[in-house]
Amino acid sequence: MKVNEVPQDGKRTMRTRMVQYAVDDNGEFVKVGSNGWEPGYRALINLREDFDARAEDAKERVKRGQTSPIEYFMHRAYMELSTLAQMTGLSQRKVKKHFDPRGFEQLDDATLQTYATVLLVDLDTIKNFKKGLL
Amino acid sequence: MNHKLQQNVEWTHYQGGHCESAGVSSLVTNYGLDLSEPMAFGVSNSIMFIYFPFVKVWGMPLISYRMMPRSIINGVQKNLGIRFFTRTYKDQDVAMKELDDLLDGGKPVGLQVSASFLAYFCPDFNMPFNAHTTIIYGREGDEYLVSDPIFEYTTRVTRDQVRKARFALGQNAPKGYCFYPEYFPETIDYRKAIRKAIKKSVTMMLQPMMPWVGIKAIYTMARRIEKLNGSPDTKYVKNYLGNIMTFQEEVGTGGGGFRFIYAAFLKEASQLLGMPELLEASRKMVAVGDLWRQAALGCAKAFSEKAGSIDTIPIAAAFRKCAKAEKDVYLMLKKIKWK
Repeated sequence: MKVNEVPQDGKRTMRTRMVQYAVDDNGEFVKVGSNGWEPGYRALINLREDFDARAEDAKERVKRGQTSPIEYFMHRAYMELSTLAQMTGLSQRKVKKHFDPRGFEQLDDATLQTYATVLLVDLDTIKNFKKGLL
Repeated sequence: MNHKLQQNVEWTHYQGGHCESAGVSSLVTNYGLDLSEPMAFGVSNSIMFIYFPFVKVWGMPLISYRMMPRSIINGVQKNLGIRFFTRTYKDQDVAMKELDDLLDGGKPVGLQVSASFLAYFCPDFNMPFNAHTTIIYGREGDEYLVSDPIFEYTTRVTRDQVRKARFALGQNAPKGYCFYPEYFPETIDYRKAIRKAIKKSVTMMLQPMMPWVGIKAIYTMARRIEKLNGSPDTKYVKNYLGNIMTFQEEVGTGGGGFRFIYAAFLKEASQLLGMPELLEASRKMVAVGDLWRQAALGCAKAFSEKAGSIDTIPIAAAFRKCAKAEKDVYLMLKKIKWK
């Protein structure tokens, strides 16, 4: 990559320029600050929108009583079932059970607190989420 | 050459291309031994290609263009003889107290952290990503001074954020991992170290056994992409290609980026050891990096396509081209005669 080929599209997710190693006219390697690469940025945004869409879908289902707030907050935290299970230290089967509104009702505060810590929300936010929707 | 480990470190911020190699290089340089980022990356034989369809990151197959996290730290220790103090913790309070003690004693510390907890990192997009390396070089009360190796500037984070980031759970959980150099060898035999590192990289990349590691993994990925041709589930195809792109170019410098860093390493090695063969390999490696970038551009083109089905054949071909060109470089490196 030549110095003038370093992408400078002005679209970036991080609040810094990223260093790329490019070759200058003398064949030496120089560090060049890249101002973002647009397709890569779009791919990330697309990924985020994907998660957001899933979260909205989960929200609707919480309203209808088909799933629990944990699923909604999982998508909000950009996680998959397997990731969430790994991070909470629970089995996937248990987490799936807590997605069921009835399973969610039976949750004790300690487990719910584990979810809250991992998903970066307050305990009360999860508890009162459904009430807030109705 | 006599390298002296500095006791009270005056911090100078360096920015690099990739968090771990830049972090190691920045720490070691600040402690008194000049080590460039490409050298840290190359000498720890960190160049790699991994495609693990059975491990999912953000719901997509794991694709990595380098060795696992912490391998650069371990590789630098092994090949250059630099010793790091490294430790993981069970107890968060002990970990935070030890960090404070080290900083008060004038010792900057490298940490493995989960990037999503650090407010300065990427505030609009807090995806869980555990394998980030950052450096803390001082503190003022409950605020830590951070010199993030991929950032242009130094910044600050709160104690609470650092604690959460160090003890995030999930894949590659950092478990409070911290490291700082505690011993430099009197002399470093660069010829031996570089030779060992290059040989190891070549063996790993050309390994014939597993289809998920090395050059073979690139072909595996290309085959998978080819199979997606004309798939009616365009959303999945787009996500799949987008995933390759994010891993290649956005998250952690990416495939092209690592190839350029490795090329820089080969050039530095050739100047250090006076071996023109390595310079030639470096030139070829730059070309390989360009091919990776072109392949990523192909993904990008398919990604923005509005049509019903996506033609993935040219994308797969582009990745095969990368694999072939890269294989040539390793074959060339393999043939080098080390005196």
